[in-house]
Amino acid sequence: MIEDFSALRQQMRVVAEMARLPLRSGFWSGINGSINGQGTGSSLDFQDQRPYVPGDDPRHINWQAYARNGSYTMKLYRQEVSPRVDLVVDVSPSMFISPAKTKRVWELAYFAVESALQLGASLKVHAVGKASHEVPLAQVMGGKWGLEEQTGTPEGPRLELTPLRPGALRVLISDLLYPAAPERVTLPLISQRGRGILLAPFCKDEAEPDWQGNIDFEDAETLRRDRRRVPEATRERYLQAYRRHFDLWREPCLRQGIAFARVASEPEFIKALRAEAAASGAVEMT
Amino acid sequence: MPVHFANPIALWALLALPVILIIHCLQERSRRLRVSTLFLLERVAPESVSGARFERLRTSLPLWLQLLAALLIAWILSDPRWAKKDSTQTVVVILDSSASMSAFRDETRTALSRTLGHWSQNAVKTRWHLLETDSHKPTLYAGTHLDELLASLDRWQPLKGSHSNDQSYMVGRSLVKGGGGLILQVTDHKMEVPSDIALLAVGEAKDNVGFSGLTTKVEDGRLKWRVLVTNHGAAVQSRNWWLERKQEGQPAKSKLDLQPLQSVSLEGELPPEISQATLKLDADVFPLDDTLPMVRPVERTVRIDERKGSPSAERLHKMIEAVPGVVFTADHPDITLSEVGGEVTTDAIFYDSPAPEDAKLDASFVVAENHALTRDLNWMGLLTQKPTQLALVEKDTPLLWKGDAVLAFLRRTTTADAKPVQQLFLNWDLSRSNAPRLPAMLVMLQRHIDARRQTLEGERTANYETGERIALPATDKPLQITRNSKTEPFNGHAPDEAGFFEVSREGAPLVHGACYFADVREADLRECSSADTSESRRLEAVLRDTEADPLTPLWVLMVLGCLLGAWGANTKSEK
Repeated sequence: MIEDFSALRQQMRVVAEMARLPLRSGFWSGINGSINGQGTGSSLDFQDQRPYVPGDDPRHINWQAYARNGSYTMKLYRQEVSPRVDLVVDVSPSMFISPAKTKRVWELAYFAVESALQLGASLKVHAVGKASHEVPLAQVMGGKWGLEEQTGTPEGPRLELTPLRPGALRVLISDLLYPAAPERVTLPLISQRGRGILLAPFCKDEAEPDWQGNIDFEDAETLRRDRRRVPEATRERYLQAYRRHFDLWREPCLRQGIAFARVASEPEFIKALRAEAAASGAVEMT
Repeated sequence: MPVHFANPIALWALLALPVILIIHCLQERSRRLRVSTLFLLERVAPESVSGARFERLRTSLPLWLQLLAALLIAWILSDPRWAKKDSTQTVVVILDSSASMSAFRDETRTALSRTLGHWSQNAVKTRWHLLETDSHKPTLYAGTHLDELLASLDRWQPLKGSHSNDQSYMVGRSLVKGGGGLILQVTDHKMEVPSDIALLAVGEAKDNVGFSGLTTKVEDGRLKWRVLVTNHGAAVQSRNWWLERKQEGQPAKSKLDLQPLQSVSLEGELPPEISQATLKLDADVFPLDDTLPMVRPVERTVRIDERKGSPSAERLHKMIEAVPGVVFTADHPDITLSEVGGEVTTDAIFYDSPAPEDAKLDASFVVAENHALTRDLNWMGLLTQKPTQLALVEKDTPLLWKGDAVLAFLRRTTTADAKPVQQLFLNWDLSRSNAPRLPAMLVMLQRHIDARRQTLEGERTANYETGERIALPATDKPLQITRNSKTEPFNGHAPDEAGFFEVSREGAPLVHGACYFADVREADLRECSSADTSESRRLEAVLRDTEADPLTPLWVLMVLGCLLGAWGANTKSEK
């Protein structure tokens, strides 16, 4: 577990100046802010012009055009909004299976928090496991996530219980290590005109385990025990299944426009982001 | 360069290697893992198959480091030493020539191969000598090849009775000069040896049944024989025995049951036309006494001339009359009986002239010299007068003393024609003495007559014990002994192995004989045992001819490195 969340936040604040959530691209809705919105607004960015219709704000009439042709023409400017960002963190026990993976999970979470805040987004944070609850931003900043109440479930994070806001950027941080179908997660991410980002941390013990011989396995989610012998052939088949598992996730994400990136736990954080997240559009490098 | 271990018991530390391997296998069985992807594993291998009780070993750095450390520790503790480049040693093996060793030929070869194999590693060069305790036997091997020494054991024929080892020890000491080697006495029982000699006893208690004696007597032309069969073992034994005669078919066998240490007498007779036969027993571990050949003895007669006329002559006549193979005649006598001072040209027995009537018996003790004629006889009861004072000359051999006067002596002299003769002087009046009734006196006379009989010319036929001395007339012509159709120079003794033989001179036979093994001390194998004192001396030899491993400090450092490395690797994996 992370002992000093304050220091972690400071580190991620620096990282957020080198990389950020992809809020600069696309069009967002929300209250006034600094990010281009979907409609016209009162920013300084000229967008278009059209004939005046009653009810238009007379302050935006193009008087120079009226002087030339005697007809009222309206100048239209780009709307600037403050986008909504819903950060969903999978807090099932498998996310904290090893110290490296635990650190990487919190680094991703606080990177998303700091990046959203620096971009002036409206941020809401949800901790999801067997249940789902919103973590107030103040508690997030203090590192109080209330994890004692969270337990694992084979169905994965219960996004259907999470109140995601319409049109929000939905960032899900989860290792995706559960047997449920990907659509149980991907569809809620893009519902109600939402845009999804899926960051999947993983560690070497999962990707390249050194299993061989008799091993007494304990499932991190259910605490179920399974004593078995793992010969080299079984280990090889496991590695193939592991790769195929994430290929099954990659395909629906691609189809539904969700930026999907796996983030390794062992390298430096910024290097881990550059490896896959930057290429998939899950983050933007400045 | 051969390596020696000054502390070979430390090699038991190598048992740590399999222990380490077993511990690693058991560790594999108890490995426990908390995982997040069990559902993937169950998908590829739905059946949860428990492993073997001992898991196949997985190689790991700690395992190899621990194995290497155990190996190095065993190496260091065993105190390895390397032979010096110029080290040499001499090993003298003295084989017991006693007949009892023939029951342990295989054990001797095995023990020597093992013991000498160890000794061969002590030095770069070893000089081997293989001798026998019988100093008359030639050296069996001298050289630098151990395998040739072991091969030369085939020529070793232990057939002798009890004998002294001192001469062979002296030879061994002269070969191993300066103490740089080993003198190894190989025998079949524990015995005391000098401090500079190691003992290798290869025997064990074994049962043996064999012939232990023969007496023959010719009556009415029939040879009556009688033999003893003895069970030298500690258990009841059964044997078949039979008599083989020339030109006869399969002999009938008789069964003989013998209690432990029991001796049974067998008797029989041979008809006049049979001159020789062989008694046999079922073969056992000691075959020398399982065969007893015998011949019909034909002894030569000793002709004795007597000068009658005195009471002592009559007494002497009666005594000599009891000796077999004697005839009184004046025709070409071999021995003459005469009063002291008589003129004699042959071997003789002189007796003193009659003593005065008032002569008293002398109360002095009779003391016997250690001589073949008087040995092992009791002379304490001999009563005589005071002996006549006779002066001994240079070639006289005193036999009996009475006080400070010589009572009996043997004189070797020559006749006028330079013929050597032997004369027995009895320096007291036999008629006034109890000598005719004293057994020792009769035995001495018989020994003297038999000694003369041995030197008589002409053929004889007799039974001998193996290795027994055969006295023959002195001659400057070579004598041969023929046995099993093989002729060799005659060494004055009967053969060492039981069988028939013939001694001849220039083709003329002198002796037809049969010899049998009769040394019951050698046939008794109950006291045989094993012992080996050479190993304690080997350590001294190793220390002398080798030097300590110069890399020991490096091995110690490597052990520490291995242990630290294994500990570090284990700690890391636990984290």
